[in-house]
Amino acid sequence: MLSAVFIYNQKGEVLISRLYRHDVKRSVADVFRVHVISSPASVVRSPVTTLGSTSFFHIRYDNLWLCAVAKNNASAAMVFEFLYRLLGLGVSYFGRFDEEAVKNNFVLVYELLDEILDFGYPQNMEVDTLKLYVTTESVRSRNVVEAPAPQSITMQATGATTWRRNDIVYKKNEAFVDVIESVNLILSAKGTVLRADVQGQIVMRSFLSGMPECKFGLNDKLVLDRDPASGTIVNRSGSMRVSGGAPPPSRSMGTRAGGMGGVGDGESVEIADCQFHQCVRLGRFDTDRTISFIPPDGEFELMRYRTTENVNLPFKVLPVVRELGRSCVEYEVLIKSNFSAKLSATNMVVSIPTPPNATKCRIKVSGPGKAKYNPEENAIVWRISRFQGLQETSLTAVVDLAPMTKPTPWSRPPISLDFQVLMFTASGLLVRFLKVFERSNYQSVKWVRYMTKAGSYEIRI
Amino acid sequence: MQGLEERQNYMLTFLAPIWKVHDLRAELTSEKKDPRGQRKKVAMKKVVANMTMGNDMSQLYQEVIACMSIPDLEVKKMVYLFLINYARARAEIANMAVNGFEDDVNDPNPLIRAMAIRTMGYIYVDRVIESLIDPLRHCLRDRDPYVRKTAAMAVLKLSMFDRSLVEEEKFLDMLKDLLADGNPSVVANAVAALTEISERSPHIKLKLNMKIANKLITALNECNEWGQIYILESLMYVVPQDTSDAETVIERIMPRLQHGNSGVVLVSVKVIAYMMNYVAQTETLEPILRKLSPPLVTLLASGPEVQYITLRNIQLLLQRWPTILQNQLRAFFCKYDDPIYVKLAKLEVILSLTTEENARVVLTELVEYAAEIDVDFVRKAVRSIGRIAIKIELAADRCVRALLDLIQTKVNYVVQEAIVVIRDIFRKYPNRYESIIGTLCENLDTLDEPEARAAMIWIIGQYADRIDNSDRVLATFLDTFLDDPAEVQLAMLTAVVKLFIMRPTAGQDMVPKVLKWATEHVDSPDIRDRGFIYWRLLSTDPEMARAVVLADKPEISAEGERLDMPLLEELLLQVGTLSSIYRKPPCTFIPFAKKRVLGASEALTRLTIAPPPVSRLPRSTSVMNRPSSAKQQQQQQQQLQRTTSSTGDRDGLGDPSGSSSVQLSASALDVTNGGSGGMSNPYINDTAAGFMQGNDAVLIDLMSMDDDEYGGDSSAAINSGGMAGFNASFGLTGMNMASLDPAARGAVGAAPDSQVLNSAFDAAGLDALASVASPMARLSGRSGSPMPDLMRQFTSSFDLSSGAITGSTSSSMGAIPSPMGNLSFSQHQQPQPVSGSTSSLAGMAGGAAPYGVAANASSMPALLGTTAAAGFPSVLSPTSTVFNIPTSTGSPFANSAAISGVQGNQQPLSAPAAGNTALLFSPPSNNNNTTTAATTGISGGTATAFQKEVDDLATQMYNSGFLNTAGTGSGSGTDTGAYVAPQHVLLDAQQTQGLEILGTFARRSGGKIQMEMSFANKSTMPIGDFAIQFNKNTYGLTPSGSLGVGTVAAMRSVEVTLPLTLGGPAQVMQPLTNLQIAIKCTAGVFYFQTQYSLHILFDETGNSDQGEFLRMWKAMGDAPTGSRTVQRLRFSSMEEMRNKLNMNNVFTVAQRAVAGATHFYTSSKLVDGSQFYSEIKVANNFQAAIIATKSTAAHLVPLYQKAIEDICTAF
Repeated sequence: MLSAVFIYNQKGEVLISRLYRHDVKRSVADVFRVHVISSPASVVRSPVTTLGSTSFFHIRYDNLWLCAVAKNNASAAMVFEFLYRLLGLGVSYFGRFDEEAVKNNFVLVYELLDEILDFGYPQNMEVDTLKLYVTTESVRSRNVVEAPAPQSITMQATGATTWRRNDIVYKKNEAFVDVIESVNLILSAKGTVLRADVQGQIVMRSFLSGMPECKFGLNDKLVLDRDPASGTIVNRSGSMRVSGGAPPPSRSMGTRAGGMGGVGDGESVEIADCQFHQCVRLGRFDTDRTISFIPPDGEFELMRYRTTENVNLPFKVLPVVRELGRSCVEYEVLIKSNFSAKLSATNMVVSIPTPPNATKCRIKVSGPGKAKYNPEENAIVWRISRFQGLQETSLTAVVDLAPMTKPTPWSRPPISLDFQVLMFTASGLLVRFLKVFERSNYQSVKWVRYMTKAGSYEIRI
Repeated sequence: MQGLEERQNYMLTFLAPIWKVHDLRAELTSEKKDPRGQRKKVAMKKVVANMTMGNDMSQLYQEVIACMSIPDLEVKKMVYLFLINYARARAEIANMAVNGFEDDVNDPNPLIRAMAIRTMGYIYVDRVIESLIDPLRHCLRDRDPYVRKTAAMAVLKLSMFDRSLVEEEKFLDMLKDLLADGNPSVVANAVAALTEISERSPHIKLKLNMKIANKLITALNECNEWGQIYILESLMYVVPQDTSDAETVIERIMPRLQHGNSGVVLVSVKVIAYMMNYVAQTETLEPILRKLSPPLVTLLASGPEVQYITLRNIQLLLQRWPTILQNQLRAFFCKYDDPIYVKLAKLEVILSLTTEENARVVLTELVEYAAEIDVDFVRKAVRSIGRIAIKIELAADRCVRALLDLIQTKVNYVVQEAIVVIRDIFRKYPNRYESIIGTLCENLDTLDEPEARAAMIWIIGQYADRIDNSDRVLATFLDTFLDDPAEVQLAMLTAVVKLFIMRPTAGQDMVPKVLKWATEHVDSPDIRDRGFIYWRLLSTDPEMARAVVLADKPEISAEGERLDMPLLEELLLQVGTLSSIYRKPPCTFIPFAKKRVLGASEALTRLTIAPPPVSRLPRSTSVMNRPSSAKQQQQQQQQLQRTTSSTGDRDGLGDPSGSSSVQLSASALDVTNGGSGGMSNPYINDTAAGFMQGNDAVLIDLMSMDDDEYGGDSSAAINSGGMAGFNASFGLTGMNMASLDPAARGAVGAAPDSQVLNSAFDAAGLDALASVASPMARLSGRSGSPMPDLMRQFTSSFDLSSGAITGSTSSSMGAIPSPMGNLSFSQHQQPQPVSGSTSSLAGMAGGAAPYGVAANASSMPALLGTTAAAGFPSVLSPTSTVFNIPTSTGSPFANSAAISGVQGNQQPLSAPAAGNTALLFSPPSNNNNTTTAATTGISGGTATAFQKEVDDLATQMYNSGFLNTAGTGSGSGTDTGAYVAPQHVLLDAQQTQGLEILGTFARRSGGKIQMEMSFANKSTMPIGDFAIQFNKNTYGLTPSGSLGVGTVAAMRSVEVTLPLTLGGPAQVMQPLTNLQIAIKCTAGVFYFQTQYSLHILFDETGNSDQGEFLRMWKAMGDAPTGSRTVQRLRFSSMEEMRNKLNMNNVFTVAQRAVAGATHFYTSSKLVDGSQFYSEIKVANNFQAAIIATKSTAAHLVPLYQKAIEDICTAF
């Protein structure tokens, strides 16, 4: 288990140093700085560094290095999860987790470190619970509650639902579900799909009173196949509210019926694998694929999933890149959008790499978007603020190259795309229902939103 | 170190302004009004800030401790932090704080109680610890769970301070009680504490039984993610006592693979991977493996750090269970912006997942990577292309083209890397790609890395006769010879000698120069020695030199990074940890770490699943050798024959392993693996098992050996056995070989070409010899079994030596590791793999030992012959000491089996001379090359006789093999002739809630052993989900397919044929043919036992001719024979009877009629090689027959005769 945790700034100065075990001294902080932070190699070759019997695990975030030290054969995955979670805590507590925030709140950071690790063993790291008893003035808790009795805190911190207090009250009970999909693509230069998959995330923001018992349903192929009758329940009409209530505004659940063109309506989706927030009862899921849980309050990631079959690629990219001798490269890049004309992509950025010795670019765009050569990135950056469905745009460019004394071939990095398409899911995944049951039997309103964005969308040239 | 100035700047930015200690003291002691401690809080913050920066604040302890009384949680926390920081170094600080702590542990606020306990545990000062003990006892029973869980951790802290204290104060028992606590966090921390205490304590060993395990698993659902990790980790201390335990655990923790925390997922994978070793059936294993894949791929979407850990672990899992992640190749393709460590790790996985089908895709991908920027990554990509060429022969052409394209890029490190891998490709596929040498030579000037230079020089030397200007090209390397690293010098030395041998005129200027440099100007002893050898070789006998230098090279393997089985197994118990990332057992970098081993249990099976046949490729790797076609077999056999004599034939050319003796012994090990991997027959597996049992260090049970497909694993297992116990003997063998080094090495290497043997046998003859040697060795090895005369002639010392070897300990097994074991490969020529042991596993160990010894026959004389012929008295002298061990009865065989092997074989040469203790360098004197008979006390006549004998044998074996094949052909034509005992009741419907099973065993055409059953459902409910499992049995009979029974409707019955195979886990049963079988179905699990008729094990190759029969019969003259009287035969003619017997693999050798009766002489062979020779006297009215049998396995005679009786009396 962990023997120490250090937080460094970019220069390698120790901002936080907390030792948990007697097998390390504070001076190991210097060892890490010397061997990793200030090491001459510009690229870190491994996230784990073992020197003698001391192992350093680090992650980087903003201008910080978070480093955990272990003297045993620690479970590396657990240590990194801990560090990721520590990062999350920092962001949640301070808004931003950077050098500034750490310096301004270092006492709080120490308090947190004392609470979340006992003798190097991660303990409860749920923000909501921690905020009950690890607070300072500088932290403005969203739900200001009277300091609860210590007993209720301890029950909360050790109980079966550490992630939720039981005394939450909202006037209006609402839940928002965001389905966010990242499409990963590797397309070969010849245009064959080497790899295409979707990493989906279902983020929920719950503002529900009491201890609500939630059930969540997707158009998961396995569920629909098992119980074909339930397939007809797919709600196409508008509201998915469990029990009446005011009619939802435009983006409530089910409105996708019109907007989600291009996505397999009512089709089921084959989910290759999924992972859940710890509030989800895994046993239930394993037996009958029911997603049931008591949600934490506020925003959390309910589940992550992955699909590899039938991925609807939102964009087709057809690049032609010709190196004409050693002095010039010609580009012709055609992009077609491959989703319903009613939808549109926003914030699209196409990055087309150029050789490092490029001097001048003549670029012509026919269609939406503007492109310009960005020498720092060695790329032509083509920005398209809005790109309608079933549309196409193209770019031609001629890049002049400076002669090089020692000709080295150009590695031809891939073209990469960044974009967001609202109300589109590349996997075809749909939320079928979200049911909320609570003892007081209140009515709740639920909203769902879909978005597909680029994960690593690479087109080799 | 930070400079003062820098530190001050830093402090300014951190918390301006700078505080001096005395200022802070003033603030902490200020008498100003401070009702809620706010001022002091600010002062404390400054203290903590200073502390963080490493400034010594300990002088303020009195003031700080005084703050403990301030009723503010935040101040208290800061004081505690201060104490944790300084109290351990300064006991007086701790002592002062004790009173404050004592107040706090009794505070009504549970948070404060817990914090006090937690903090005290951090302070390793006697007084604090003393005053901790009582409160801790209370806190462990506190009504607040938060306090209890903190107290559980405090026990761990205490144990790290003073282990005995924890035991004296019974804290461990209290911790154990907490395992039943109602609060999941408390349970989790108690488990974590117990686990670590046991990890670190030399005498406490955590053991969880299934009852506790089940409780803990139930608690899992309620735990937070970290608690789940601790609990899952503790399941590694559960040793399943039977398969169902393991299956239960796996089933119950399977849902954890869906957890969002990668720590939980990987620790679950670890537990599942561990438990899979206790699963008894592949049918159970397959779905588990299928379920493991998706979560692993999903983890690749986590942060890069977790991806890296996952990838490293996937590598391990893949090696153990190759079917995992099938068709997931593309998930491992690198993204452009993956961190380099992720890319490198992905590359390894890609290589492991490459099969014949996807090789093309992979290659395109690798070429893509080779164009990237990161040098390490590019190099590894290039190297991987080469490894694919070696791994997958079909892809080799394309790989070579890709490499050539890469060379054209002229990127320096790409070119160098490519040349290194092309060298390996040349090694693997000799004489196939010489056409590309021209392109390679264009890049001579750019090669500045030693490995690339050495590789290029090797290539030039190897093809010196094909490259027109090879002399000039080599000459360009000559200038820098003395400055080059040893690696390059060695390559150069050999290349120049090769050039000289192939093109004497071209090389004659260079050779003396290089030899002179090598022997006089170079410091490295390896180079000097090799120089001397070449020198002498060349000056004595150029022909011999050619044979030595240009000898064939052993195969090379693509899977350089494969781990051997015990290490792999250990690492798989560490999935997700540092150890799995570094591929090192924890004890190598953690001082206190305990070694983890698979807990011994009845249920330990170590099953594995081989990849499906489509991806079963002609792997040339040492470990993965598995003959899948006759042609391949042939190839491999030839290859192995080469390796047989190749201990020294690393040829050293650019091959570092040839350069030192230590590595040489390692390479001998490789060769062994290759051989045993290739064997992949149960015989050897059993040997390993037997050996391991004797050794008792690690119990290796080889249940997975269903058939040849598992060859790869079997070798791994052998390897593992070898690791544990062979070491000693390896050391010896290795050293002995090393002491032959280097001259003998070269000579050994030359053996196949030196024609010592070749003059006597052509290649086929050699094959045949090998096959003679193996069954005979087997026979002779069976302890207590009679020795045929023939074999006595062949190796008259065998009964001595094999006895000694059987009796001796592990060193006897050294004979198998010796490369000669490879010869036994030729067993594959026989249609049936030889299986199972008869008498005992120990017997098998013995059986195997002479195996190697016999095999020595082919190479050892060769070695001796050539060394002698080469005429190196100086080199020979150390050699002779090795061989010169007296071989009289009771000779010290124990120290090296290799030696005994040599002697065993040498003895027949000198057989007439009884007590031959003299020099044994006895090259068969009709050797063409052996110009001088060297020093030998053996007449040429003897040697010739010996060779003739062997020659005859070879022919005989060949003939008999031929005959047998024919016999099989005729036998298989009519399947009906095979005897099948009538089905009898295996399971009674009365005991099984309505399931009745009848069954029998049969051997159908082509030697297919099967169990024919009928399942009858006599209940009113359908019964389904059938599964069958065999317990270990004498011959390792085990189902080779699944039980094809679906659901049996009520009152229906189903006929089913279950194919069986030999080579499952073996264990001697009483009676020997007893089988214990379990049937699982929806009606429950039922156990029963039955016996099969021995005839199902009769091999199709059991035919022998009259001469052989007579010899064997005579040889076993004094062997125990059995006789049996059989009544009422079911035959009407002798013809019919003979046919019937023939069809059941009881072959009639001869038949003669006497008055009123006919005498049959039959031979048969059991699949394990036991031979039976019988005389069957049949009365002409078929009313009675008397069977008299002699066998190499006397204990089987009753069963054998019973089988014959059954065959003869059945309808």
